[in-house]
Order: sequence, then structure tokens, then C-alpha cells
Amino acid sequence: MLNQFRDWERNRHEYAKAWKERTGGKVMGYFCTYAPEEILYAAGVLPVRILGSHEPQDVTEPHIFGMFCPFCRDCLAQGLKGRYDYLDGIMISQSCLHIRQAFTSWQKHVPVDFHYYLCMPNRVQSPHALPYLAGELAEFKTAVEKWTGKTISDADLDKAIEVYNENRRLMRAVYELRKDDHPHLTGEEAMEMVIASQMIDKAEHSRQIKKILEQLPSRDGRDPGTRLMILGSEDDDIEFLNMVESCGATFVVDDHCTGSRYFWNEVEPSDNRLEAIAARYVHRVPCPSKDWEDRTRIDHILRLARDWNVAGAVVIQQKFCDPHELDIPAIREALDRNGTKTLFLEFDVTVPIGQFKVRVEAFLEMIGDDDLFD
Amino acid sequence: MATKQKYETQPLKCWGRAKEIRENFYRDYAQAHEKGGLRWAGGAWTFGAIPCGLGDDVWSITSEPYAASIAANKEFSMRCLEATERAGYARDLCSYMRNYWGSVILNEYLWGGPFPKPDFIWQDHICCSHAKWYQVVCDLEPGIPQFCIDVAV
Repeated sequence: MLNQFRDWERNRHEYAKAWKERTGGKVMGYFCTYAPEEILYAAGVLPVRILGSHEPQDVTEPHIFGMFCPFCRDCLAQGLKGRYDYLDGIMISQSCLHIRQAFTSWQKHVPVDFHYYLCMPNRVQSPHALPYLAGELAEFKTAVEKWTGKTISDADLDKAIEVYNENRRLMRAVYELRKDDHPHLTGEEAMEMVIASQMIDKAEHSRQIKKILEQLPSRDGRDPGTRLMILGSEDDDIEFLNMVESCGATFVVDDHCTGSRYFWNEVEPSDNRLEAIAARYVHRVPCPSKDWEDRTRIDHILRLARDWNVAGAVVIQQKFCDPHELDIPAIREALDRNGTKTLFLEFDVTVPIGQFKVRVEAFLEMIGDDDLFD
Repeated sequence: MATKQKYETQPLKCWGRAKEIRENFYRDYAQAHEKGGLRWAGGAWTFGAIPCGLGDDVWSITSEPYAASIAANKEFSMRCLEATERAGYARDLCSYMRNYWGSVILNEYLWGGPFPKPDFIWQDHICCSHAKWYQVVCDLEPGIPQFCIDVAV
């Protein structure tokens, strides 16, 4: 039933190449989920998130510091190895220095027709962030129009906003099904759906979600075992989720940019389309790199844990990911105070599944309060 | 084969004076309240000109140089780093931050006495950690007003 999403996620490059051949359109690689995809979609461009491949590599050392996070190095490796050779452009919305270094190295060493650095504010809690970003989006729109040769009309923006909002609503509906005592899909399947949505034409992705939303309720629910949440840095390590879910647990919700953070907030349509899009990105559930001075994300995480009836949380962090490292002690303390036990794991390009399995099993025993001597 | 030219060198004559000025800088910060003034904390790159406008009795602790001064004291630096790790912060975070937080957690100031809590925080977000650095300070020393400027480097 959910195989189409898995197929898209695994064969992302083949999809993009076929899309390009079929439509004659341009494909834009983006490095962070703060990219205003609606503007690209309105111009007929396919936005494709650049992610790593989880293979050890030795091509990025000359270009990027070894103490930058493994995710940004893995992303750059994909460009240097030519795996995204179909891209017509790349862009980034300012998020963290590490992924920006991947962008600038790519810009220099893997030439494309068009590249754009969008100066997205980090202090999104400032009252100036919204008008500032709206102005930046106007410049971005002009640059995209010049690149594609297409004028982006209000009607184009309205359509793109609705396509994206519909996809967000549908993904929220899928996540609602995970609240069930016997969830109808696993965390692994949910992550595959979200990652696929970052690479596939959103309208096509939404059509597929509608189909499965009709079928999922009749699918046998799963005995969830221990209901878990997963949260932290960028995480597309599907093998890890699969391992945990084979140990008597189910991930019922997440707070990842490859998960709920990507689609949680909609654009509230208004006459000023660019301001409406800017508001969505300023007010969305933030990445910790933008969550200051207040830590607004903690309340959101606690709400997810409560509403999805979570017994424990796996808190993961890409090694060297400073913004997440700076939030994790506060998040763990808040979850602990609310009765949700946490397991902290540090991720790299590859993860030691065997070692992590031992730790996950011990964590599940601790949550289950199993008597080892029964 | 070229021979290496040796140049005569000598220690900086101003070095002792430079150290004295540095000590006075950090003492002024610690003793600000005794002098009826205020203390503010932020990075060395912060727009210091703005709090300067509050008056001559407002002193800052520039956090990176303070942490670097801690680093020169290996025994104290080790205790600071260990205290920070014990509090749950990752060991691969910038050691400026870890030395600074350790000094706060231990409540020990490098120039003696308890760590002087700032009256306000005025920081520039010049890297992914800068505003977050003082977010953690506010966790450790609650109740300090914090204002950070976005500098999307």
C-alpha cells in the first residue's frame, strides 16, 4: 500500500530525471527546509531536497571541515560524486553554517546554471523578521523569473500555495492516524512518506496520499509495543527506525525536518502572497538554529508527546550539530519533567546498528519497567 | 645553500602592562555593582558601542576572551569543561562556551569569588552558537533579560 512512497524515496534521482524529461521543466536542489518551495513550484520548477546517501566517502575533506556535521558533508559528497547531475539550480535559505558550507562548496565545485543564497533571518522571533523575509522573497521571485523566463503571476502563487497546503493537510491527516491505539503505519513508513514529499511533485504526492488515506483505516492496526517519539537533527536514517520498530516499539510521532517540522504549518493565504509565504516560514515550528531567544519548540514537543500518547523519546543528534546540541539538555529535562523518558544517540553518516540496538533494547526495558529477574 | 637569517628578539616590554589592563577589565566587571554600575554579558564581536551609551559605569564581560583566559589556567579550565559535560552539554561544542558555562555552573570567577551574574545580555548571533550560548546562560542563571542581534553570517 505504501510501496510507492518507498519507491520514490529510494529512486529519487530516477524520478527527477524522468520528471524533467516528461515536462521539460527545471529542477532545483535545495539544502534546507526553509527554502520557499511555493515560489519555485509557481514557476514550474521541481524543488528537490538534497540529502545524503549514508555511505562512507572521502571526497569532501578538501572542501569542508571534518568537525562540520556528517550530514552536510554527506550532502556535498552527493554533488561531488555527480549524483545530482540533473539539477539546473541550487539554493539555500540561511539556516546553519554547516549546511551553508555544503552549499557554497557545491556552488564552487559542481557548477549549475543558477544558484541562490536566500538571506532568511535566524531571529524569527523579531518583529522585523516578517517584513525582512517578504522583501527577500520578492528578490528571489524576480531572480527565479529571470532564470526560468516565466513571469510568476498571483494566480501561479495561489495555485502553488494551495498545492503545498493540501499536501501539508494530508500529511497531518496521516499523522492523526498514528494516534490510534493500534497505529496503521509505522514510523519508518511515515518518514518515507515525508522524505518522498521533499522530492516529488507535490500534487502527485498528494494524489497518492489520498489513495492511501482511503485504504489505511482498513489496514490491520499494529500492536505498537512501546509508543515512541523521535526528534532532533536532520534524520533520514530509515534503517535505524526499522531496527527500533523491530524491537517491540513503534515511532508514533516525530519532530524532525524530515518529518513533522517540514509540513506542520500551512501558508495562511492573503492578498500579499509573498508576505503570506514569509509568515509561514517565520512562524513555522522552528529549527533550533532559529529558536531564540525563547525556546518555543519545547512546548510543541511536549504537546506532540502528550497528544500522541508517547511513553519514551529517542533524541538524536548529528555529530557536531551545534544548534541541536544546544537545545538537547533543555528538551530532555522538559520531557523528563513531564514523565517521558529519553534515550540520547549521536548519529553519523553511518550508524552502529548493533550497538544502538543494545541501547534501544535497554531503554525499552527501562520504560517497560520489566523485572529482569522474573 | 641559503643560510637562515636570525633576528634578535626580546619580550614585549608592554606585556606586563597588558596583563594588568586585562585584570582591571575583569575586576571592573566583577565590582560593577559595588561601584553602583551594571554588568552586561555578550560576545567580543557584539556592538559594544550601544551599551557604552548607558554610561561609564556599565561594564561588560566579553565572553570569548574570558573563556580564553580560563583556558590559560589548565586546572580551572579542566574543571569548567567537566562541569559543563556533567550538566549534559556535548563535548564537541565550542570550548569558549564550555569554559564560560563551566565557570557559571561552578560559580567560580577566574579572578576569584563567585561568578558575577550579568544584569543583561547583549549578544550578536555571528555563528550558529552565539545566541544559543546565552540561551543556555539563561537556563543556568534564570531571570537575565536577553537581547540578541541577528547576523546571518
